[in-house]
Amino acid sequence: MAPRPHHPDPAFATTLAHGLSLLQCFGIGDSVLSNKELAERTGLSPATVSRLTYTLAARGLLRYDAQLRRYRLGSTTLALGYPLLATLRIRQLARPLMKQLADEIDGSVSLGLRDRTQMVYVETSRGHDAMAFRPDIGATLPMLPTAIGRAWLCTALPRESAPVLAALRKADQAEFRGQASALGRAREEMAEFGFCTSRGEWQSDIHAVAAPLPTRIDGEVMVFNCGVLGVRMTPSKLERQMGPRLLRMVAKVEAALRRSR
Amino acid sequence: MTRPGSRSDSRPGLRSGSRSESRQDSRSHSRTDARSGKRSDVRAGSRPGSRASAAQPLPRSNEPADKDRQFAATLANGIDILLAFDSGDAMLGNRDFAERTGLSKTTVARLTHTLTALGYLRHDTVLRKYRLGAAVLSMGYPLLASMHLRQLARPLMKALADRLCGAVSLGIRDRTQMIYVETARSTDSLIVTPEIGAALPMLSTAIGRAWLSHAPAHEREAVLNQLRLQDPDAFARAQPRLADARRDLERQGYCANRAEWRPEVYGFAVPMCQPVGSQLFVLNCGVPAAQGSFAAIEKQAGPQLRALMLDIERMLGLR
Repeated sequence: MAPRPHHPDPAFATTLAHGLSLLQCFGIGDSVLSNKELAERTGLSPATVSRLTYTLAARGLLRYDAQLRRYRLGSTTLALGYPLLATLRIRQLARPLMKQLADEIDGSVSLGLRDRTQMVYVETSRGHDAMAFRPDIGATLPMLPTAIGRAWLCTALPRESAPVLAALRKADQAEFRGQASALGRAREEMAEFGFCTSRGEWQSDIHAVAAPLPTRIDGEVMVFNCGVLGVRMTPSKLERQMGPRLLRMVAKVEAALRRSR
Repeated sequence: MTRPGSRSDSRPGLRSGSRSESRQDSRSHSRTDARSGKRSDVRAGSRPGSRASAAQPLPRSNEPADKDRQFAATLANGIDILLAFDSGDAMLGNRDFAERTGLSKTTVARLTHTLTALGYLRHDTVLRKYRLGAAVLSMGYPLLASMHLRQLARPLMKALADRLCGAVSLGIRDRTQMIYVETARSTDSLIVTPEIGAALPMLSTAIGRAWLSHAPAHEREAVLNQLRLQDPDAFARAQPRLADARRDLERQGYCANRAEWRPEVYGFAVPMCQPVGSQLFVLNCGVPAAQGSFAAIEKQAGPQLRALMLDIERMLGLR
């Protein structure tokens, strides 16, 4: 991310945005980063980075490893998400049903929420030996090539999806053009079957289907997906078996939700 | 880059300064002191996941004053907005944020505006309040996903939770509290939902005492010092129980909490034999006190939790 000296929105707190952007530099392969590396990745000056990392460490979001002389994510990053997880009761209702389906298909079943132009898992269950693909809470997925993202785009109201589509187009024109026909097919699938598919279009070995929860939660469309290794799945099996199974699970979750109200 | 002269960011000594300036009321402590005090005394002990000391400041005493000019107040204030959510809070308004953080309404409005644009908050335009956004979950994802032992332990934890009709969790230390990184509960458990990210106090819980009994000496001493500084009275009261916990761990391999933290739950905890990835993990389990006498529950829960930890340690090749 290139730093912008003058954010167009005067009410935007740039220091806050820069500080939080440092946290996004950490990934599964990048568990420790130095101030210098963070400066390189964000384009911020070393002096700025050092103030921001110092402050993030004071709030527990980063942890300084004195031996490596580098920062790691601090455990407060987990505490920050707790109130959201704890108040999304749908997770607890859906959890046993998700686990049951994950075991049956020997894949993974997750529940996601949209965050700007990506989907974020808020709950996830794995089957017995779905070793290769291990999704987890907080994982982010792109919207255009995934079943879960497509299902959101096909379910949200036009006034909700339009700004997201515009942002996706702006972020990567070529990718957007490349996915346009797939998105068209996804709309047809959603209209005809009630779910969307992705056949190895995001991760080449994963085939996935996704369907929205009919009732909105806190005013938002939430989407369930299930993914299995592609070697176990033919395209027709995806549509004839996995899709309907996911829909049956979603119907059970919906019924449990109604009972709980 | 920060805008030159952006308000509070570049002032020296602002950690104590800006807070007292921004506080409208007459309380004399700094904001975080007031908050952590309020939360640890009034709320923290009363339910799981109350974010007792989530926004606790570094102990001022050992922090050089010149470091304060290093502190980016706008960033810290923005994080405090996110930390203002407590476990039961689905939504908060700008006024709630102002009350809980001591920041001015103007400052709060600018921070919530920015956090919404970044996906950390979601604005409900009808209710004119904010919910946490999904970006708060993606922030911790690399940390969570890097702890492979969670996935290894999860089915075993779930099986034990079912056997005990309780909840089994795996936690690590976060400054002066314990945080759950994985949790499993039996379907019919009455225990208030433990979740990933839930924070527990250290001195009054089995999981915290187990950590304090088994952590590497230099880490333990630092944490004990911070706990003493935060609340000298509570620290003094906890001393005998800490000694008990150390003795119990040595003798029987687990330590227990006889509903001292929450009156309806007995707690048991076992630390891992050694740290993994520089973190000492601790397993705990909570069983509703209504299920029977402490002695009867302990006889089941203690040894079985101990056996679960041994299994996990073997799977990790630590034994």
